[in-house]
Amino acid sequence: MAGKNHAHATVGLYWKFAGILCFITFIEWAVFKSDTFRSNAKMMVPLLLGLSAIKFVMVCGWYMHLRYDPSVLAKMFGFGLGLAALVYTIMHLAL
Amino acid sequence: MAKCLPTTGVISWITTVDHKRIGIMYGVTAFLFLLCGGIEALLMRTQLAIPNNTLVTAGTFNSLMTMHGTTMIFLFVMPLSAAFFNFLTPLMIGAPDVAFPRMNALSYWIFLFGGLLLNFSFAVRLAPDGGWFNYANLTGKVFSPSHAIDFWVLGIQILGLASLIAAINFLVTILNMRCKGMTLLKMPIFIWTTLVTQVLLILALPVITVALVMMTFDRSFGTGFFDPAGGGQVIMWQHFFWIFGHPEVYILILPAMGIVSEILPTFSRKPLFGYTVMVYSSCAIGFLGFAVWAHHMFTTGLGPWAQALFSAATMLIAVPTGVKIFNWISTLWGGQIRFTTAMLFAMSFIAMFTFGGLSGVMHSSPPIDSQHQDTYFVVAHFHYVLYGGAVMALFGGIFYWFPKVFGYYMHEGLGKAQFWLYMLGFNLTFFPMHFLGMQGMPRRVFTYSGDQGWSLWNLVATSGSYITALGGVVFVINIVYTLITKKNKAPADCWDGRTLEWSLSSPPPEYNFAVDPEVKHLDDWWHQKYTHDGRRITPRYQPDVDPATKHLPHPSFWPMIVAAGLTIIAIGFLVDGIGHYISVGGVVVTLLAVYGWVFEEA
Amino acid sequence: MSAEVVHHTVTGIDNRKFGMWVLIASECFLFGGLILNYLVNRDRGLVGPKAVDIFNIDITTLSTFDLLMSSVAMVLALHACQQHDIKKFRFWTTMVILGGIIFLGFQYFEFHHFVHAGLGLSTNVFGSSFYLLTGCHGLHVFVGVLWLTSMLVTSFVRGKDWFPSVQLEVAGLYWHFVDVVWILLFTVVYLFVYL
Repeated sequence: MAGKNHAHATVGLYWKFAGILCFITFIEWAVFKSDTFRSNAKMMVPLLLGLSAIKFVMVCGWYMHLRYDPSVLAKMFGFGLGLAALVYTIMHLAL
Repeated sequence: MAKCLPTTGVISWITTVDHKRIGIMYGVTAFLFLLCGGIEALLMRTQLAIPNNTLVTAGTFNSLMTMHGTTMIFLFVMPLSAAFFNFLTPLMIGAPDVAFPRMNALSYWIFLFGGLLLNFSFAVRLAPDGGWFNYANLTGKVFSPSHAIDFWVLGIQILGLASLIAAINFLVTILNMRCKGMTLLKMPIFIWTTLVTQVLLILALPVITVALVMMTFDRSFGTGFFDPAGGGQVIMWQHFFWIFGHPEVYILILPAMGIVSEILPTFSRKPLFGYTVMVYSSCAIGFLGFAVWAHHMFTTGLGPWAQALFSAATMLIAVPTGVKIFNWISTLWGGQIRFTTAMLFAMSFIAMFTFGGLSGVMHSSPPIDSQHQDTYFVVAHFHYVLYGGAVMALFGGIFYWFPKVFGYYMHEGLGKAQFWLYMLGFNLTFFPMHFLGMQGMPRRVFTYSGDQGWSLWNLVATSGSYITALGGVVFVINIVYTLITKKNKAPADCWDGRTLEWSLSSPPPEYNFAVDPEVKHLDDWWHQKYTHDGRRITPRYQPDVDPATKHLPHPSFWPMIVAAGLTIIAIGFLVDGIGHYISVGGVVVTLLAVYGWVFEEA
Repeated sequence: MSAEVVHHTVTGIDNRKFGMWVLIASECFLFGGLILNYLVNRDRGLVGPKAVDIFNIDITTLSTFDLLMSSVAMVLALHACQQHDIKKFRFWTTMVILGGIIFLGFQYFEFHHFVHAGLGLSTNVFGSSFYLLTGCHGLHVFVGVLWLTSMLVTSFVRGKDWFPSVQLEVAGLYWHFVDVVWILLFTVVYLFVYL
C-alpha cells in the first residue's frame, strides 16, 4: 500500500514535459501543413496517433501522477478507456 | 444551520445522509412505483384477456406497455437493488457510512424527482408511448410530435444521473472503506456482485446519456442524428441503446444473484459452494455483458461476422451463469435446510432463473432469434429472468433482512402464502406466453382476433396476473401487520447469519459499529460463532454506545435542492414558450445549491 | 470548502480523489460515444460546408497550445499548494483559469466563424455531431473554470493559511482529463480532416 507521501515529479520535470508537449504539438502542426501529408493522409495516421498517444501518456502518467499513485487508479482508468475503445470500435465496424 | 436540524420527524428524513435511512427511502419509493407498474401490467393483461377487447385504446396500450417496462426497470428493480446496496454495503464491509454520505442523499432525491417527472406524464395525458427502448425514428418529431417522448428522454436522463452518482459512491466505498483484514476475497459475495454492478453502471450509463442527448437535440434543436432524410442513421440509436441496455440487464440481475448467494448458505448452514469461482463468474458476466449487445439486433441486418461474434459471445456468457447455478445447487446439497420464506424465494430464483436462462440462450442463435423476435416468447423469456429471477430474489432479500432493518420478523405464514401465490401466478402468467410466442402472437399488440387460437392461453395468463396481484396484497398486509403489531422481535443475529451486519443490533444504531471490526476469514461472523469442529462459542456482539461520542456526518437540505434544480432544468424542455427561462432558472438553483453544499460543514 | 478530514482508507487514496478517477473512467465512455458519433457522421452531411472547407488548423493549434500550458500551470499550482506557497498557488491557479477562458474564447471565435460560413447546429449531421462533441468538451472546460475560480475566490476569503491540497488535486485531475480529451480531439477531429 502506498503511503501518503508518494513521490512527486519535480517542478523541473514539469517544465521539461511542457516543452516536449509543445514540441510534439508543433510537429503535429508541421506534419499537417506538409504536402506529403495531403498526398498520403492515410499513411500519416499511425504517426499522428502515435504522437497524440505520447502526449496522452505524458499528461496522464505525470501531470495526473498516475505513475506515482497506487496502481488501482491506473487499472480503473485503463479498463474504462480500453473497454470504451473496444466497444466503440466493434460498434463502428458493425454499423 | 446543519447542526440544528432535528433527528426525528419528517425533516430528519428529508435531510438525512444516513445510508440506512436512505436505503429504507429507496425501498419504500421503489414499492410505490411497483404499484404504478403493477397496475399498468394488470390493465394490459385485462385488455388481452379476451379477443377484440375494448377496455383501453391502442394508444393507451402503447403508453401502458412503455411505462410498465420503464417503471419496473428504472423505478422498481434498480432502486430496490439500490436500497439493498445502501443499507447493507457499509454494514457488510464494516464501514461507518458510505464514502460520500451527502452524494448518497443526492442520488436518492434525483431518483425520486426523476421518477415523479416520468409518471407526471400520465397527469397531463402525455405518457410516453415509444416502448422502453424508445426506438428511433418512431420517436422522432415526425412520428411523435407531442412531448410524450420528451418525458421519457428527460426522465431517463435524470434517473441515469442518479444511478451514476450512486455507482461512483458505492464503488469508492467498497474499494476504499473496508474494515481491517477484509481483503477483496474475504468480502461477502453480495458485496462482490454489488461491486460488479457499480462498474457496469459507471461504464454503461454514459452511453445512454450520449444517446439521450442526441435524441434531445433531434427533438428540441432540430438536428437529424436519427433522421435518414438528412444523412442520419436510425440504427445508431439501437446500437447506443443496447450497448447500455445489455449491461443494464446484468445490472438488474447481479444484485439479485448476490442476495441469493447470501440467503442460501445461511439457511443451508453451509458456506457458499465455490466462493472464489462465484466471484470470478460475476466478473466474467460483467465483462461479457459489454460484448453481447447486438444480439438484441440480429434482425437489423448486421452482416455475417457481427452475427457470428455476438452469437458466440452470447453463448459464452451462459457459461459463468451456468457455473453459478451449479454452485447454488451445490450449496444446498447436504445442507441442513430451513424452509423459511426467504429461503423459498431464493430457491425459486434458481429454478425460475434457469428457465429464463435456457430460453435466453436459445436467442443467441440468430436463426432462432429471427423466429422469436417480437413475439410473446421473448416476453416470457425476460420475465422469467427479471421477475422469476431478480424480483423473486429481491423479495427473498426483503424477508431475510427485514428483521435487521426494522427489528421485527415478518409473518412467516403470510410470507409463505405470498410466495405460493407468486409462484402460481407468475408461472400461470408467463409460461403460456412461450406457447403464444411459438404460435406467432406478436408483442406490444393491444388486441387480437378470436380465430387466431390465442384466446385460451391469454385468458390463463390474465388469471395468473390476478393471482400475483393477490400475492402483492398479502405482502402489503404482512408489512402493515408486522409493523403495527410488533409481535416477533428479532435479536441481533436473527437467522444465525454469516456476515458482519448480524453482529449489530436490529435495527443497527445510526453510527453502525461502536468498535471498528476486524475480520480474519471469509464469513468472519460465522467463524466468530463456531469453532472448526462445529462447537458454538459466544461471539462478540457490537456494543451499544452513546451516539454523541461518534462523529456522524451532519444532515443537509442541499442534496434535495440540487436534485430539484436538476429536475427544473429538465422540466424546461417540456414546456413550450417559456421553457428556456425555466431551464435557466433550474441551472441557477442547481449552482446556488452546489455552492451551499460545498460551503456547508459536512 | 469542507475541512480537511483525513480518513483512513484501504488503498491510502483519498475518497474524493478515488471518486474523481471513477468519474474519469466513466467519461471515457461519454466522450468515446461522442467521438464515434462524429467519425460516423463526419462525411454524411448532405448540404452545407464539409469539415475540409471550414477547419482552421492554425487557430486550433494555438488553442491546443493554450490548453496544454494551462495543464502545466495546474501542476505548478498544485505543487505550490502542497508546498504552502500562497503566492505561487494563487498565481498559477489564476493562470489555469486564464488558460481556460482563452480556450473558451477560441472556441467561441471558431463556432462564430463556422456559423457565418453556413454551418449551423442543424445544417447537417457533420455540423451537429461536431458541435455536440466540441460543445460537450467546451462545457467541461467551462465547469473547470467555474470550479477553479471558486477555489481562487475562496482562497482570498479564507486567507493565506488555507491550502486545500486534496481539493485542488481533484480539480486538477478533472482539468488534466479535459486537456487529455482535447489532445485526442485535436488529432482525431482536426488533424484527420483529409482522411
